[in-house]
Amino acid sequence: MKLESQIEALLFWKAEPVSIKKLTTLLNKNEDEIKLAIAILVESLKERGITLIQLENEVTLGTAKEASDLIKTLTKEELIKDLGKAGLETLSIILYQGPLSRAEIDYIRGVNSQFILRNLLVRGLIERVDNPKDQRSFLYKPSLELISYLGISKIEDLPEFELVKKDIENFKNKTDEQGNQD
Amino acid sequence: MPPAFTIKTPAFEGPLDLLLNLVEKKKLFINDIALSKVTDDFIVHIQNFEAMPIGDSAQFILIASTLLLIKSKSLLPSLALTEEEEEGIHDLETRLKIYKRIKDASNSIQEMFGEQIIFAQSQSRSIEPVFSPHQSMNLLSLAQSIKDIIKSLPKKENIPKAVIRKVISLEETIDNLTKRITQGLRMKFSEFSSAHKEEKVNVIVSFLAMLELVKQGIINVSQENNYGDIHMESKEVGVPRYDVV
Repeated sequence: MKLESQIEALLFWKAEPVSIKKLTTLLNKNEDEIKLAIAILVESLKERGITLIQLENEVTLGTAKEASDLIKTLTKEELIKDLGKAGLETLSIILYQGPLSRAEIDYIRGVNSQFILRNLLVRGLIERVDNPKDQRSFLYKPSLELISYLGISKIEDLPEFELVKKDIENFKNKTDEQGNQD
Repeated sequence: MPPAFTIKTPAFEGPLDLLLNLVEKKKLFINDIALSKVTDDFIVHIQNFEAMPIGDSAQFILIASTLLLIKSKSLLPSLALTEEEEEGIHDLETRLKIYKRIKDASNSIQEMFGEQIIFAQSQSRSIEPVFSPHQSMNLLSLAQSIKDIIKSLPKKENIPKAVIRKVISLEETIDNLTKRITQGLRMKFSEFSSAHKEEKVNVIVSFLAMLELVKQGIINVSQENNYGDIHMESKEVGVPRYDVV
């Protein structure tokens, strides 16, 4: 059986996010082989009812975004769509710039983001992970749930993802240059 | 009690939000010229804020001071700024640019959020029960166990059956009883009514019953003297009921 089909079967059966590392051990393949097979699988799932979502090193299956309205009628829970101004701003920062620390978020927003971050954490839209550079602080990153809420298969599918990242990088570098010149 | 909520008159998320709003209102690009032009507006806004939270107010004032520096520099080009001040100005510009970029991008996030949700499989697998028998479990021990269980099962007991023999027939009993009543009824009224003496009405009912029996000719009654006990006996035989049936 083809590797991509094996991954499909495995993800279907698991019905939860599986790390690429786990797939390498389960299927006895190296990471590149797994990633290639995932790419093929993503391609083959186009026009299908299910789709593959990936965030960093985790992949999982979900219903196609085109089926969203259909599934919404089946789910009884009320989906709270309103994020609020602060929530939206903070989520966008985390989506385009994450993982990043609270201090970095505060720097961009110009206000204290403690409460809004807690709110987003509780709603499961973001995740908090240890900061490898600083034991005392945490980094915030989008959750797989947020990605699925946005109906995208991977974070790179966000509108102007690379462009926004690049622009912000340029702003930062320019300041550094100017700062150095003065 | 401090109020549970605060009202921000102009709905700005923070100083950068306000600053960006002011710059965009004037349709300016973000640079030091634009910032110098909105300085006054920014300060007016701060003054109009009522009950600004301490934490946020510090942010507003920090940015206001940078703006004043920018404006001063634009009015007095000869004003020499320290390296730190220069850095502060560029930093504010950068922050504003980044903030604007994020804010622009957030518009599409808002549009996308919750619109075309990719739903995960709804019934995720719960923990699987795994069959992991103890080492002591083998064919022999299993066979022994089932034998033990069979042995300890409660045995079916045969309860000896007894045939109920007929001792006396119903007809005989009735005859007997009739005989007893007709022959042997001789009693004092006090005995007759004693069973229900606690209520006066019972005694009255008993007396009425006795009179009815007299009327029907079933019993005779006699009273030796006034207020004495009344003796009742059946008509047929005046014998006392000594006989054992």
